[in-house]
Amino acid sequence: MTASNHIRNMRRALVALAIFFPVFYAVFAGISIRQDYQNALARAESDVRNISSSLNEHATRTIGEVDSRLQGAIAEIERRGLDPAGPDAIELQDVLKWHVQDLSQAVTMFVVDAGGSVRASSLKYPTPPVDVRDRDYYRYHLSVANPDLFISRPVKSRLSGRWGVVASRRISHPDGSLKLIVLLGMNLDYFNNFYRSLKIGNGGLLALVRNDGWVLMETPLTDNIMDKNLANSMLLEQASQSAAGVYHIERGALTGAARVVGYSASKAYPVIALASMSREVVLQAWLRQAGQIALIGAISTAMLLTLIALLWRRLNDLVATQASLGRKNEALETSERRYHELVDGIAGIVWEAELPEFRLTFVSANAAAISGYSAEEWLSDPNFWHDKLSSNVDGQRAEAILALNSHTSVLRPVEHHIFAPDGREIWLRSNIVVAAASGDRIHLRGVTVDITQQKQSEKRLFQMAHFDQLTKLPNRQTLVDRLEHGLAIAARGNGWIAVMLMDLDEFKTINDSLGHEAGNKVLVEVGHRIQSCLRPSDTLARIGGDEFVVLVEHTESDILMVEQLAERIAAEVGETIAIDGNEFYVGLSMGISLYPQDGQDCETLMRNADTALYRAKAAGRNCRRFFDESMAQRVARRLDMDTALRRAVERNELRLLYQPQTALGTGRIIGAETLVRWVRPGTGMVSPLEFIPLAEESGTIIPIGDWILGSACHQAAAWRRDKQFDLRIAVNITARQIHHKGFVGQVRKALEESGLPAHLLELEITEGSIIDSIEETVSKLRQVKALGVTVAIDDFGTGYSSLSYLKELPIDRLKIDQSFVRDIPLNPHDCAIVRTIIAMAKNLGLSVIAEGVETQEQVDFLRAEGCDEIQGFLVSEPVTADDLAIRCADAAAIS
Amino acid sequence: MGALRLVMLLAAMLPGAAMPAGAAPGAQCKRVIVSADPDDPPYSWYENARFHGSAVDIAVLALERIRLPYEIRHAGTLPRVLDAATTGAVDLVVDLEDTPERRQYLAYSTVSMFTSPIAVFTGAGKKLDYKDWESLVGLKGGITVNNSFGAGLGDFAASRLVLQPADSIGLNFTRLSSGQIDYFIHSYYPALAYLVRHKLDKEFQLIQPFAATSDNFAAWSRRSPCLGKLREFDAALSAMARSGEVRRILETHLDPVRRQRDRRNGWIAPAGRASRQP
Repeated sequence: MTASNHIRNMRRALVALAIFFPVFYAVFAGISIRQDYQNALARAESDVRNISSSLNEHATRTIGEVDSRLQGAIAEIERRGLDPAGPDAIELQDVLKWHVQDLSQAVTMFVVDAGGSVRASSLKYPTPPVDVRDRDYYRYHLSVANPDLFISRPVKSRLSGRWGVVASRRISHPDGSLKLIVLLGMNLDYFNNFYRSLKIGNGGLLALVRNDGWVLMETPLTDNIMDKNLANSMLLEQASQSAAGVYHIERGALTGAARVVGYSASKAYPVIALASMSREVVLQAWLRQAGQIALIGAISTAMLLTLIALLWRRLNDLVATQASLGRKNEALETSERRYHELVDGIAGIVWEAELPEFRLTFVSANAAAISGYSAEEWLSDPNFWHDKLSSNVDGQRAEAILALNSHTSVLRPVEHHIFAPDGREIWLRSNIVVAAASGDRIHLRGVTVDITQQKQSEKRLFQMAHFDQLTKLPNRQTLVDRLEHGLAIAARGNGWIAVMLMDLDEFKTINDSLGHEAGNKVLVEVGHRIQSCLRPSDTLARIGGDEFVVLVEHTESDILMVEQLAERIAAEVGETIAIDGNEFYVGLSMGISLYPQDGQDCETLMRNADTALYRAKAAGRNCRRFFDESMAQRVARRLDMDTALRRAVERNELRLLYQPQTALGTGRIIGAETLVRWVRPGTGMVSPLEFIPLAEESGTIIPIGDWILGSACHQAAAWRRDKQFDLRIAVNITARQIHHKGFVGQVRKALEESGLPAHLLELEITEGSIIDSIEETVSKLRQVKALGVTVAIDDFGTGYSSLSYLKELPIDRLKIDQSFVRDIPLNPHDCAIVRTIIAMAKNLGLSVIAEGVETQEQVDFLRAEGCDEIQGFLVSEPVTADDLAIRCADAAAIS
Repeated sequence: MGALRLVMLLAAMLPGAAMPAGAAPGAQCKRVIVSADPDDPPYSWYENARFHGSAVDIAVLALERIRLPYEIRHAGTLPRVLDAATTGAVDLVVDLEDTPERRQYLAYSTVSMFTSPIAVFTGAGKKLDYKDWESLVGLKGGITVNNSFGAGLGDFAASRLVLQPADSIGLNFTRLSSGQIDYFIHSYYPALAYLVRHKLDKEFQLIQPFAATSDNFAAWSRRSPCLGKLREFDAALSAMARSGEVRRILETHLDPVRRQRDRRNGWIAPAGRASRQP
């Protein structure tokens, strides 16, 4: 069944309900009201019947008691022959009083004589003269010689002034004539109180009626009761037929209204008790109830009709709603379709998520195409946002809270650099808004788009802006940036920078002859070659055409290194270049400016480097020039010396001298320190202080040191072999030698080749050579110590004298620097230092040798302090091997 | 006073307060103490260590009918008897007129025991033309303290008559004989008894007819624990009255007086009643 059929059926049901309910209600209400009407009347009839019966019983009992008292009094009066006319009045009063005074319904008892005068009363003595000849009881007893009880109509007592009904009996003379009437006045209030206690209700009427219709008593009691007579009412007619009963009258004799009347006639006395209720009052409850039923019917019908009307309207609304709903569904479907088309059409992943844990609750279907991860993967992994999108959830949570607090909804876009499951590098950007917040949960909504191409474009732009597109080397701008950055750092830390501007010689010829493409290839190759010569920290830039710039930053001035680098670059670039099957050479001119001496800023340095390059170009192909020529000259001289020094060993230009070392205890020469001298052709003797640092710097020290070590060992071995004296030969070892990988091998080789016992070889090292790499130094010294060689610390006290390395190093001797020895014993500070060094060495189990000893006072001090050996001009200046052999021979001869 | 009133109010709310007003709380009615005026023959008088009189006998008979134990106690003169009734020392006082003042501490029977004629006396040979109460207006009269005449005559006397009280019947007769007063109003039988007893009946004359009647009651102390028996007592009295017992007792005590009066051939007897027996 369709919905419209349902609605049609419901409408029919509502119409039926609207029609039948009021009808059914009216029918049932009518029956009920009629039933209630009959019940109300029946109840009223029952009530008046019962009440009239009670009234009758009450009246019979009351009158019976009164009559009893009357008869008692009459009996006593007659028995005692009391005469009210005589002196018996007081006794008569006693009799009357005694018979009436405890009777509630009695007002008074009195005696009336045959003349109609009151003669005695229970109330008063003397009795006032009251004439009662007008009273019906007097007339009755006067005319009727009947001793029976007579009940009067209501009268107002002339003695008491109260309303009452008088019951009386007569006392007759023997001849039957009236002698006295004994009367008892009944108090109508007595009846009234009783009647009122019956609570017959509003409009209720209780009455006591004499047989002839005169009303004796009624409730409510009024003064005009004496005029009421029901002789012509239905009551007497009814009473004549039945002693008790109920009847209805439309117009009551007493009230004039329709009434329900119940009556009950006394069997003992001529009275009828009557109880009636106003039919209007009787039916009041019924009318009210009927009204209520009708009202309820009206209200319920109205409510039902209203409800039906509402339902009808709701049905109409429902029909309308159905139609509307259909339209809305269509619209919704359209909207849904549009939404999906829109979402799916968006070149981004539409998603929704909840903070604080950034749990994704919705992800559009295009997630896989954009991110490489399907929407299901986005949704199923609670940590997807953090783990897969490499995003800072805490940061986004904090930003969302801040956005909420600042009443904004848009968060900063988030970029994700991810790798798809297939390894693709993808850049994504998420634009996020705060959709809603409830409690601690924040609902986010966002669109994540693929910005990989944008990123790549940015990268390309960056490359184009900062790098040379041909060689991929930094361009001029980048060079300037790095130079300025380097200058800033150098200015802060006393750094040093070389700007080497290079230009290919005859590049134009290559371009012109082989074409730009070949020229470009040459440029790329040159770039590679220059780059291969540089440290990672150096910068190579192509600043245009065939111009390259090398930026060298260093912590200290090293002009030689720059020169060597320039030479190395030139050599590298100068190698044959093969392009497209053609081989050719390229020359490289170079102009060099140095910070800080050649300029303090980028522009100056570049300009000066350009100036230097111009000079180099002017000087011919493959030249290089420093901007400061004096420096160039120094460099040239150093290079020249370095070159000469490299050849010095080959050309046997080096000479060894030996300075004896004497034991203070014996005064004997026990050893000698080897000292090298360079006799340079054309120059003469060159101080080791000049060439050894150069050799150390250039690395030439390695072959020179190797030569010195071998030569010294051979000389000592020769002395031992030829002269038969063992001299400990001491050889200075530089840091570069120690750190050279073949150092230990060189020592072993020198000993082996010379045959010198290892213990006659002592290596002297400076503190500075240890500090650079103490672990390596300790390791290598232990290796040579293992050979049997001894080790001495040279120039002790001038370097980083540290107890820690003294403890670590495998050394045998400390050599006190001559600077401390020079002023002893005059300089107390030097004395203290020397004394301390000697004491410390002793404590460490080391021997001590003082160098630079030139006076006897120095010897005396050193001996006094416990120094073991001395070396210096006081003993001997450095001498040749032969001279030393002579000295030793002399000393041996002397000894 | 406020606190005392509060205490009394609270006491009145206690269960014992449900007893008739003035009854001693917690006390039970075990025996009725009966007392009366010791000097009001023939209704009540105390002689030879016991009470006599019609009022006493009627009350005793009524108490016996309702089976209430009793003790007839001589409590002194009538004022002392009334004092004893105010405190509850006497439960039942008989031979009393009904006055508003006494109702403060006495609860009267609803039925009177009998009716006492109120008589006007004057000196023998004195001329007093009496028709009704108006005849006494302008004359000097005497009354006895504690002797009343009922509402009608009492009200009339208070407003219209000049009455000088004296402590006793004898004093009033003395004043009457000395001419200090023109007439003396008193209950007939007590006055007659006094005159007969003192043989003075020939020196005074009774004014006919009787001026009024006065109801003679028994009254209960409001502090009596037997106050609750009042209705029962009244019912017994009514029954006795209707049955003639009251009359018989009354005559028992009136007849001797009447006979003494008649033997002396006095003239103060009411006309026509001297020789008739009840």
